[in-house]
Amino acid sequence: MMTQRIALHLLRRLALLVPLAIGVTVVVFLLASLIPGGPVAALLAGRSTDTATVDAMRAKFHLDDPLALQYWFWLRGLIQGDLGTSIVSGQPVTAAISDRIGTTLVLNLSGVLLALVCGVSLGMFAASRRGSSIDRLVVGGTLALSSAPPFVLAIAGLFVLSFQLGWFPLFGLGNGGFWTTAWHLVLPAIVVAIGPLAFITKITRAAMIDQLDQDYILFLRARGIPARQVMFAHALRNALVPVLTAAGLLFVGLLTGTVFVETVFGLPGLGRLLVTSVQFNDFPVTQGIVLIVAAWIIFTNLIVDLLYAVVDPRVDFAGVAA
Amino acid sequence: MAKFWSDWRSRLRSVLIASMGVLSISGSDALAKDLNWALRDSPRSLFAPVNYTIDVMIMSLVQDTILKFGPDGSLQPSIASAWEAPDPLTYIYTIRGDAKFSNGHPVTSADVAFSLNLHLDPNVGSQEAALLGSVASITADGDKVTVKLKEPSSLWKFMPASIAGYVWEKSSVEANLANYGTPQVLPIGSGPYKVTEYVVDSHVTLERNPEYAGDEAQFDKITFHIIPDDQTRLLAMRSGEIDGTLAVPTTALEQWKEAAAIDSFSSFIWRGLTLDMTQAPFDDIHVRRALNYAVDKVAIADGLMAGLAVPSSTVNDPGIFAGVMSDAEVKAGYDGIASFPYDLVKAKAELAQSSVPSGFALTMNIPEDSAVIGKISQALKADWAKIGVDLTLNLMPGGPRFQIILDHKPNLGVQVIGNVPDAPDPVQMAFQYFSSKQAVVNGNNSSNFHDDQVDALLDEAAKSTDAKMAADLVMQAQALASQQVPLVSLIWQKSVVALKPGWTIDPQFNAFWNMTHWIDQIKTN
Repeated sequence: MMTQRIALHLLRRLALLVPLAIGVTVVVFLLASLIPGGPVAALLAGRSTDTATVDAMRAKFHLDDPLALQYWFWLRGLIQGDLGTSIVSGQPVTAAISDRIGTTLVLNLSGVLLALVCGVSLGMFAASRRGSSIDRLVVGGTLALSSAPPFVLAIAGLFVLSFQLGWFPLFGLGNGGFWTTAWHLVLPAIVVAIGPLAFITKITRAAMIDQLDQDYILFLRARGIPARQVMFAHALRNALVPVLTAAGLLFVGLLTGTVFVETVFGLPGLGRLLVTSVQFNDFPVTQGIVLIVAAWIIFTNLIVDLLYAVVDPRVDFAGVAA
Repeated sequence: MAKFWSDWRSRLRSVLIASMGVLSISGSDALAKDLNWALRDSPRSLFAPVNYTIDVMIMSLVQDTILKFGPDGSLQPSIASAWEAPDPLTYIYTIRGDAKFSNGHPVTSADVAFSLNLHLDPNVGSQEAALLGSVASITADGDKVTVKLKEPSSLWKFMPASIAGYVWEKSSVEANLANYGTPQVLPIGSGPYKVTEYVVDSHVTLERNPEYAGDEAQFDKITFHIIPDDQTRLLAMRSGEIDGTLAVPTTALEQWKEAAAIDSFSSFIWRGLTLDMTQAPFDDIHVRRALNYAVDKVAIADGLMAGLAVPSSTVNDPGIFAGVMSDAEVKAGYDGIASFPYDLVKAKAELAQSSVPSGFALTMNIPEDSAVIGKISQALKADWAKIGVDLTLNLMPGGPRFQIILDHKPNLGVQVIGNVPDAPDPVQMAFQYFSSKQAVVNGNNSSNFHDDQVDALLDEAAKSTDAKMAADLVMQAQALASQQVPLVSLIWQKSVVALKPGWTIDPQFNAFWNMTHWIDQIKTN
C-alpha cells in the first residue's frame, strides 16, 4: 500500500514536469523577446554596420518571424531532442551545456555536501552545549563567515591560501586529469560551502534542541542509553526532516547559483554560460539552461520528498491516494 | 596521479621562481618555449564570419590573411604574393603557391575567394559583411583572385589585411559550416600556430603549425587563459603563472606596475559623445559649444585614464595619417579643427547666449559593463553640473543601448561612443560620424550631422583609390565638420600591455598589432 502510494506520488510529480518546464520556457522566451534589438546589436558590439548586414543576421536567426513561430521552431527541435544552436557561438546548445555541467555539478555538489557535513556537525555540537560560550562562538562564527559576500571570501581565499601560501591553484581547471581538476576545485568548493554554512548550522541546532527537549530523550537517558547513541540514533534522525528541507533548497540552486565563484576562479561553469547567454540575448542557450534547471528543481524536490519517508516513517504520502 | 604531481611541481617551481625575483627566462628553456597569456573575456567562437567576439589576437596567429599590415600600416604580401588594381573597380591578387594549412592541404585561390565570399553569403549572415559593402563579385582563376567593386572604395584595399581577410579552408568550412570554430569543430588555418584546444570561458591552446612556411615563431605553445576577475588576473601576474595580458584595468594601474612591466601603445580608440543636432536643446550651437568647453578632457586623459589617453578633437587619431602624410601636414590639418579647451567662463558665456541660459537636464545611456565609460560619465556629470546642466546616467546592457543608435529614431540626445577603425584608413571613421549617409537606420552618425560640403568631401574620399588624396579630403572634412560642433570629442585611448618583468614590446607595436604575428614583437630578454 505504502509503495503504491509512493509510486503514485512519483508519477503525479513526474507528469507535472512537462507542463511546468514548458511554462517556464514560455515565460523566459517572452521576457527575452522584450529586450530591444535581440542578439544582433549585442553581437555587433558597437561596430559599424549597414542595413544589409543587419537584415541578413536577423533573417539567419529567424528574428523577423512572429514570436509564436519562433517558439514553435524551438519546441519542435526540443521534441526531436535538439535544443538548437547558440546564436553567439554556433555551438549546439547540448554541447555547450554538457561541456560545463560536469564542472558545475562537481563544484556545487562538493560545496553543498561540505556545507551539510560541517553545518550538521557544528549544529549538533552547539545544541549539545546549548547556552555555553562554545555554542555562541559556533553560531556567531558561522554567521559571520556566511555574511561575507562569496566574491570577497573567494578573493581573500585566493590571496592568502593560493597566492601567499601556494596551497591551491589560482585559476582555471588545470591541464587535464581527474586529480588536477579535483585539486583546482577544492578552494572554490570551500567558498561555495561557506555561504550556506550558518543556515545549516542554525537549522540543525534548532531542530536538535527541539528534539533534545522531548520526553523520549529524557526517557532514553534515564534508561542509561549511551549519550552518543541518544544523539545520533534518536535525536539526529528525528531532527533531520527540517535539515533535509534546507538541503533540498541548497540542491535546487546548485546549477546556476555560483556565478561569482566561477568568475573569480575562472571556472567554465553553467552559471557563467547563463550570464553570457542573457547578455547576448542568446535565447536557445538561455532556454536550454532554463529547461534543465526546471527539470533539476522538480527532480530534487521529488528526491527530498522520498527521503522524508526514509528518515520519518510517519510520512506515507497518504494525501496522494485520497 | 602522475599528472597531478607534475602539475603541482611545475606550479611550485613557477611560484619559487617568481618569489626569488628571477626576471629573465633565458636560464630555462622549458619556460622560454611556453607563453601563458591572460584574457578577460572568452572568445565565444573562433570563426570570424559568425562572430565579432572572436579574439583577433588569437586568430591572427592561426589564420593568415590575404595581405598583412606593416609596422607603418602599409600593405605587405602574405597569402597573396602580389596584387594590382588595373582600374579603380578591379583588384587582382596572386596567391603564392607554397602556403599550406595546418592539415597539410595547400592554400589555393579557391580557398581565398571562398573566404571572402563567405561574408557576402546571406546564409552565413556575416557580421563583417558591411566591410565588403562595395564588393560586386569575387572569383578565382588559376593562382589569381579577382575582386570587382560596385564603386571605387578607399576602404577595400585594406580589407584583405583585416578581419575580413582571414583565409579559411573551403573544404573544412563547407563540411561543418553550422558549427565551425566551436570547441567541437576547431578551425584550420595557415598561420604560424594551430588551435589544439578550445574550452569556452577557460582557455585556448595554440601549438606550432608544422606546415607553416614562414619564420618560426618564438614560442612552442601559447595558452590563452580566460581570467575574468581583475584581482585574480593580477594575482596570476604576480605569481608568474601568466606572462602577459592586455586586460589591465586603468583603475588598478599602480598595483599592476608593481607586478609587471607596463607598456602602452596607440590603439586609435576614439571615445566621445554625439549630440543630436536635430533635437532641442542640442540644435543650438551655443549649447553644443558650452557642453564642450565645460568638459575637462585633460583631467579625463591624465587623471581618470592615468595618462593612457590623450585629449581628442575629432574621431580619427592623428596617427592614422602617418603612412601617407608628414608630421607637419598632420599637425597643420589638426590645427584646423575647432578645439574646446576646458574653460568654465567660456562655457557659461556660451550657455548664456543659448536657448537654455539657466541650464537644462538630460539623460545619457551608458553601458553597464564598461568601467572606463562609467568613470568618464561620472566626470562629465560633475563637470556639466558646474554650468547648470544636470546629467542623469542610465545604465543599460550593451546590446539594447547600441540598438537605440542603430534604430536611429528621432531624439537620439547624447550618445556615448567608443569606436576603432577596422583598417589604417582615415575615411572610415570620418564617414561614419560626419556623413549624412550614416544619419539613417543602422548608421553611426547619431549627431544627425548634415553638411553638403562635408558630404561631398567624404564621398570623394570614400571613392578615392589614392591614399594621400583621400587623407587630404578627410582632413578638410573633419576640420569643416568641427566648426559645427557635432561631437563632444573626449579622448584617443591607448592600449596597455602588462608583461613579465624584463620583457618588452617592440616599438613597432601599433594600432593594428592584433592583425599581425604580434607574438614576434614581444621581446623576452
